Amino acid sequence: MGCIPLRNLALIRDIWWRHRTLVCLLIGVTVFTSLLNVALPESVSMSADNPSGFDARDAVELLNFHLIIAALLLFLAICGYTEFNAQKGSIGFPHRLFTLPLSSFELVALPMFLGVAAAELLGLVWRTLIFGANLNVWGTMLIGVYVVVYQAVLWTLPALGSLRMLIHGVVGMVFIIALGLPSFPQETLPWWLREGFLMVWLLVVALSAFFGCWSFVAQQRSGGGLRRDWIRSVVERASDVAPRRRKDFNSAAAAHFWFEWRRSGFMLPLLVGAMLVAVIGPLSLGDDGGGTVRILIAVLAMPMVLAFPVGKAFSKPDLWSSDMSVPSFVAVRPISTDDLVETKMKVAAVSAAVSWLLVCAFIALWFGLWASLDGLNMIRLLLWAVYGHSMYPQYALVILSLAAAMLMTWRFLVSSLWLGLSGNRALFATTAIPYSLAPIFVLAFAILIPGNEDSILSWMYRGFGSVLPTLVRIAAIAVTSKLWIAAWSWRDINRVRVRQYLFLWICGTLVLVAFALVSWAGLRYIVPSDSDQLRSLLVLCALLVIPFARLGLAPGSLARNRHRL
Amino acid sequence: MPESVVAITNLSRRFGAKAALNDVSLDVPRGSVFGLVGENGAGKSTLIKHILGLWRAETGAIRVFGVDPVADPVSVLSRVGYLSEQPDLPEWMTVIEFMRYMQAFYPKWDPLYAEELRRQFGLDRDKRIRVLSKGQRAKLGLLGAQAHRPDLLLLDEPSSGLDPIVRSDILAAVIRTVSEEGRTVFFSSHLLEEIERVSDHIAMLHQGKLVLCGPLDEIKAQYRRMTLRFETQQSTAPAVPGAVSVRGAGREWTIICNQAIKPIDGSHVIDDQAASLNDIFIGIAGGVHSLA
Repeated sequence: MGCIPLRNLALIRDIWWRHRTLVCLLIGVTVFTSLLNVALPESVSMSADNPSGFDARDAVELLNFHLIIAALLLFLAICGYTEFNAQKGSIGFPHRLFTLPLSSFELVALPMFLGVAAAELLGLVWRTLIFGANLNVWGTMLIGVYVVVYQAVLWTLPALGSLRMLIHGVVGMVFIIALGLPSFPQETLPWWLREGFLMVWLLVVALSAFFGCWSFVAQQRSGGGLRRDWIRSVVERASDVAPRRRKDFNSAAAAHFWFEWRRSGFMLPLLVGAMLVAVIGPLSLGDDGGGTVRILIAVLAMPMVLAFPVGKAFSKPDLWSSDMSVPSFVAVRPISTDDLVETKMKVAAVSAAVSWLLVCAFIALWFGLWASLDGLNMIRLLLWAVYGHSMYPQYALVILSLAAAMLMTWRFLVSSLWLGLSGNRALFATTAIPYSLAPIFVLAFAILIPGNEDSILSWMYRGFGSVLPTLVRIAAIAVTSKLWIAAWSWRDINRVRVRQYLFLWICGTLVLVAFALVSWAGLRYIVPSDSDQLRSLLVLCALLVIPFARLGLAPGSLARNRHRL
Repeated sequence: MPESVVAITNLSRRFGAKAALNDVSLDVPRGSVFGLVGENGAGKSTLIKHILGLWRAETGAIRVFGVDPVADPVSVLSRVGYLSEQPDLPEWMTVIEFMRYMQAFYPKWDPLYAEELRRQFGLDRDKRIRVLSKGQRAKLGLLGAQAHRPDLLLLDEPSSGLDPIVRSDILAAVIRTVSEEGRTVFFSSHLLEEIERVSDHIAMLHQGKLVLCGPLDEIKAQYRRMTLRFETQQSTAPAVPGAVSVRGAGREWTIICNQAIKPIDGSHVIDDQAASLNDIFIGIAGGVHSLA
């Protein structure tokens, strides 16, 4: 018995060794944020000396938000103690640990205990050193239980593969909502939502997750069991329900379109549909009219917001694989790289169109059956007043907004193709750098803003007129660069294909320009700036939206990946 | 001299410090069954990937049907059937979906032949690929590679890890392809009996270099396996001019040579026979070994 702690230490060492880089990064992010928050108020305390000095709190909060997200992602990556099992073709609890002289209970309990302890420690540091908040029992419990549930989902549902991310998302949302429950007056809540009962409920959830996970790992360790077969059979039955191809294909392009759609195209409509049914639908049913506008904005933004991460995965040769090389099954088919890229673009277009069809269908049902439209009528009245007491601009605005949103969704799906298809992991990863550096630039921007304004947002609003000429010049340079690079990047592509895409690009851009002009007709009364320059900026931005140069680079990127050039 | 389906000239490829292929030149005659042998890591799969155009030649040139497979992949790949050691098949497809998908790419796809192969291989048309066994997947991969009657069938260790029954199915299919239609097969394996049974031409790669290439009969006729008995114990392998390998211990040594060797003083030949492909392979790859 005396050697049990040593055996446990071996497991702890294994966990540390696998995640040491991430742990160091997490510590680095936390220390950096702590020091920044301790040091920053002194360095930007000009507002104390200058009564009209600007307030950089917004920027600091934004930076803190990004850093806490980075820390959270790092922490979840560390807690995601999983490995690929080649025999089962899934990622789950590391099977190599089954040979260690540890009981299944220890194998499960130790990583969970470490995860919960690390989460609590991290939460404590963030709350006290960075946010300066007091300890909160409810929040502490939630964090611990979330870690247990997170690891239990990862380890007990390996057959679901990437779908576990969806479960994590839903569970995460439930926990975030639960975090705010104690702030409600307890007497207004039903008994089953009061803090005391919820704590018992949390305990039940944590214990169930742990025991379920322990039982599953023990079953896996002894060669699997009914439970594994049950999950796999459910997944397989679900995929068997998907319609099968009953007819021959007319062409190689049609066959590959089907392949690409089944592999990656359905993803965005599926996610949009799931969000409409699981989140937006229930929210709209519970709305008494006060949240109609916010829900509508969420519905309209959702396909574009989802298209951004989906587009990153879609731009890889295979959405589901972490290997960025072209799958040999596709690489050896007699189809040109130009055709492969064109197929991706078509699938993205259909994916965007189907997603928006779902959104439109939902809005039609919602507005027709249970929505309270009072809030929207106020906006319509405002638009009616702004657009010269005419209804037609409103109709144009709705139609053009939908078309522009659909184009934007498509744009997010295809704009990274030239990077994703290159197979260059480092290059692909660099696309995340601008997003991670954005808060730092925002902070620098806040510190360097000339003038003394009450807040950054009010400064942006009031100072927009002064920076507008610069923005117009930057946009003009961007448009010129885009067209030059496009001319270069499309030089080796078949002329017919160039003409086809140019035609599509012009049509799409005309829609966006029309949208920009109709929007300008209303915005010029709201935004205090030179009207002509505002119009120029909007039109130039419309010219930038639909990718041209980048798509011209995609076939070359794919060819380099396919032939290892 | 028959026309070459594949012509490789001075092909080299490095992965970091390691030379995966080193100045390889070979021609694959039309209508031949060309076996490529070599130990693990010798460069067989790398060479096949170059033929498919999945790797560009760093130096040297490759022509398949007279065309650069990187410059014009469509015209080359439409005439090639390819089966890899671990067929990378989309697991979510059913067998019939896979057949329909493949059919769309190859104008010469023969649906009746594909159906015949499916029945012959015992593949259920409605089963998803993910539920097929390893052997069944290899058979399905072979169906996909064969059913458009390609001018060149490339098989990269197709029977590695398969049971003898599946292996014989694959071999039977290869032999039928060649004997009935006179098409070309390029076939890599480290199962030498398989290569010897099927191929009429062979090439041998050793550490990225082509050490042997030609018609199998000529090579087998050229190489001899001789056993020498020495009058005294030999503590080290004796130096035998013309030998590609010397193996043994004490007084008896076995020599693989590609020419008649002169008797060495103090020894006499106790056995002399044609070398098998296995002898030649081990001789070239293994070099000099003392069992003492």
